[in-house]
Amino acid sequence: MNVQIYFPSSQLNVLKRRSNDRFCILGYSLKNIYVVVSLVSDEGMSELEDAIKRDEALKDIKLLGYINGDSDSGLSLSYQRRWKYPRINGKSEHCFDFIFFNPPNFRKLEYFSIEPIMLQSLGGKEREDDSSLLHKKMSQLHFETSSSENYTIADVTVLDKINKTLMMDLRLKSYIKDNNITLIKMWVNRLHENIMFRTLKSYFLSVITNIVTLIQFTCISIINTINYKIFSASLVDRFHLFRQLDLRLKQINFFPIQFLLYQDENILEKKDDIIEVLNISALNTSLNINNSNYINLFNSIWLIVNDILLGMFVWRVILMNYEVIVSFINTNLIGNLLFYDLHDVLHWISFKHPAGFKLNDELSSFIGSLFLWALKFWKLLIGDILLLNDEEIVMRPVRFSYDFILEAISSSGSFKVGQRFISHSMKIIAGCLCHCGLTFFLSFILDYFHVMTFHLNCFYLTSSRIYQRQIEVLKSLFQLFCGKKYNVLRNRVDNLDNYSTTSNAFFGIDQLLLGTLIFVVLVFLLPTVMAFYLVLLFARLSCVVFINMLENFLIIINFIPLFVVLLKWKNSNRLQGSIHFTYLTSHENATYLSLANKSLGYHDIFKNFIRLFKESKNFRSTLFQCFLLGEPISMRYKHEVKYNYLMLPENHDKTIYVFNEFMKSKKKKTQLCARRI
Amino acid sequence: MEHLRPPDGARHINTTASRTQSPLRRRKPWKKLLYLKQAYPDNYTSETFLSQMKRNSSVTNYSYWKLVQDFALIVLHLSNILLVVLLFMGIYLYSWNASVPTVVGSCLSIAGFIVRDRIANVPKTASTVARDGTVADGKDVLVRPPMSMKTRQTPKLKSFFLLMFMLLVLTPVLSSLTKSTSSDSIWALCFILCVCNVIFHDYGMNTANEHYSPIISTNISFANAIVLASRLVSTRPVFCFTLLAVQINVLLPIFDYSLRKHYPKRHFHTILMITMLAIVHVLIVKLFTIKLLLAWITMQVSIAFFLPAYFLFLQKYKNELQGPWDPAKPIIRSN
Repeated sequence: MNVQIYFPSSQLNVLKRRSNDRFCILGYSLKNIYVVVSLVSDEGMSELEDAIKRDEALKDIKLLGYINGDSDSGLSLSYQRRWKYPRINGKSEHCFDFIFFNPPNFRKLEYFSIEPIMLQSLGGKEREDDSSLLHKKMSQLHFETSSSENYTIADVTVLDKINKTLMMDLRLKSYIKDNNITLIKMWVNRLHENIMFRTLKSYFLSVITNIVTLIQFTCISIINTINYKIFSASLVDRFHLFRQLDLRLKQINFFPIQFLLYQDENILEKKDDIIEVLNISALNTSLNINNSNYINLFNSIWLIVNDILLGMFVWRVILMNYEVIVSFINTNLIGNLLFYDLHDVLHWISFKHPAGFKLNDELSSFIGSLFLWALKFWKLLIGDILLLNDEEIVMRPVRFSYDFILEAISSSGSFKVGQRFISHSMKIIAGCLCHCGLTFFLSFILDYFHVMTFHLNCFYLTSSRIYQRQIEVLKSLFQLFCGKKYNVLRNRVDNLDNYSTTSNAFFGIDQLLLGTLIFVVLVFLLPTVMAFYLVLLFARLSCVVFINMLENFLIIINFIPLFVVLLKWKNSNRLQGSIHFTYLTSHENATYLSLANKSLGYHDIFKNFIRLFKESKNFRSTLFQCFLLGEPISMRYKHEVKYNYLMLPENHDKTIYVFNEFMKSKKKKTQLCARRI
Repeated sequence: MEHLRPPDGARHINTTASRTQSPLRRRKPWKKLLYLKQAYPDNYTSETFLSQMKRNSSVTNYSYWKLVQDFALIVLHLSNILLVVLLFMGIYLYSWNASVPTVVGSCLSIAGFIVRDRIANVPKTASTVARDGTVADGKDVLVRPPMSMKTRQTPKLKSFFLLMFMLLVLTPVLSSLTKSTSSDSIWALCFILCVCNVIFHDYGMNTANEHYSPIISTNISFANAIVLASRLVSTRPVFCFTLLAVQINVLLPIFDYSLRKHYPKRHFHTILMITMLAIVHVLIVKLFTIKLLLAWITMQVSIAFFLPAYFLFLQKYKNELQGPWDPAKPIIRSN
């Protein structure tokens, strides 16, 4: 049989200091596994015997054996100064594995865990990659051995004992010596017993509970308001700004629960309850719940603080260069890029044989003038309103004399006032949003960009729709040209001159000729339509790329696992990836191993973050197909991926209930404690 | 799987043993059936294997004059295409009045319509009546055929007018369709379309089919007409030329086909063909020189008379094998 002895390295140091003394080994024994908690000298042992019987927590601890002393049962080890590790006394038929480990400090959220901690998820079922498949196969292979009677480290009880060693060791030590620890403890206990302190504490708790509940209530009501659907679309669906607000509020709303989840140990018992009520997509197992919530909570808080600081910084920069930025937006963006340059390009295509291509003059001038007219209309009605500065900006004179109605509208007084009002309020709104965070400002820019490029989007949709229809007609007419016909009943293309002799199955000559006539006309008109389509597609594509870039910025600021990386630098034991054993040496029938934590790698930390870029929004997956068939290109969002990434609950309005329940149970517990004292 | 199969040596010994054991008792005769387990090696070839082989089973022997008649259809189609191109050249280069040939063509095609209906209906109704009479004496059966004829006739006139009006509506579009394209590319396109037309045309040599609808060549020739018409400047010649092209390229072959179908002796077909050839010849002389006419006639003669001879000459070398290795053809029992 293989006997495993888990031996804390701190106890090894005790052994080294007093190498020839006799020690009692205190610890847990689970069938074939010994977990050493503490080494106590004989004098200490006599003091402890009483305490072990009395204390509930120390109940399972037994005397496992002796070092440098004889014993009839249990372990019998010996140690000398020149040996590096303790040895087994005498011959035994068993094999012994000494496994040394640094006892994890549970108060610092250090512990050993077989299962890697899950900090983010992308919701639903995780895609099965090769390693998980392999894992599945391996588990099938070893099914019989895993049900054997011996314990291994993979069993929860064993791991639990190992994780508790330091705590138990300190507790034992506190009984041996009346040192400072007990003094402080006594003082703390006395304080707890004090009525003044207790009432103060309960009062403070109830105030905190009320405040948190109030905050949660406001959050939930705002979330519900902005998610309220008017004409099958809510504010959140329409505006990026409200989308960001929604995300932030949901985060804040979940903070108290997250705090409780890592702070309160009793929450583990009610785990299933929480999952059911809140409908959280994925949750860790056992101790990982505490740690993951701790990390996620502080990651979120850190990112929010960062966001606000960045926003304030950006606002300072904007204020310093306000004139430059405004004039850039006015003249370069709205004035030139979105109006005059677009006008020039459209004019070039419609009237000037673009790049030497001989387009159909009549059609191109027709479509071109439609677009140009719409562009002028946009300029007069919307483009001028969007101008930011209220000062007079020297624009090129409007050259088109026949729009006198529109000119009359633009020259009226109310228009100027409206424009000034809008640009003023925009400045105020932008300033406020910057102080809420850079992400809010970026989403505001996104919304503003959507409004600015609205006409471009419309033009693109129009041209793509024309192109799409033409392609469809050409496809079916080409079949007619070849004497084929789409059979609706059988969902296939039939050849018409070889399977049927009834006259209905043939095209009449008139049908053929009419089809050919339209086909030839459309073929010759295709390049003209295509030219408009291509140019507007390019314009739309550049807009989409810009939007995509801003979205990426938003994702980086909102979701980057900064705290996790810092934690990895600071104390990598706190990111439980798994455990790993290192071979040290072996002597006779004993093997010496060391157990250590394998911290989460950068790949694991960033894996989901990088997938977030691809999965939360996408326009590239069907780009080529869309381009050929003329289907409109647009960003396809999957917003729930973001919520899943942050592991936010689906039932966000139940958080108040859960929080209050917990506070109630906590209060009850404190009252119970008080009554017992 | 290797161990399941007995080694080759053992198998060989076995067969030789069986052969020596009983020379009198013969092995079962080999059968050409894969699913049987037979005492023959896998690569065994029976001596009767080639007995089922057939040579040139599907080759028919043609007579020279039948072939000449069929090849003359190619000449007819070629001159048909050429006629449209020549008329276009006349209208485009020498600004002929396009209405005159169109009016003549329209009159002729209306006459052709009437004639064709007469030809198509008279023997057919007689035969149907006769057949129906044998089958049943009921009045409904007798009434039905003329009704269906009528329903088939009426949309023709309607569709003719529909097509005319669509053409009229689209003529401004057509006249400006290729304005910005250079003429050379249009000529090249026209040439390619003509070649495709000749290749894909259904010449209708077998007149037994009930329907004759050369769909692809009809479409290609009409596309050719549209492409050519789009070079003309004003709308009236565009309309006239397109209509004329439809009459020559689309209606004429159908008319010719019904002539050949209903008059197997082909007098009328010959008359029509000679007229067509004559018109083309006259136009060639009028537009070009007499040398070109000579070249054209040489080409016609070689297609109509030398190609059939060459075809017969080549048929000597035909060596088509059909053996038991070919996939079996199911024989569907009729009746």
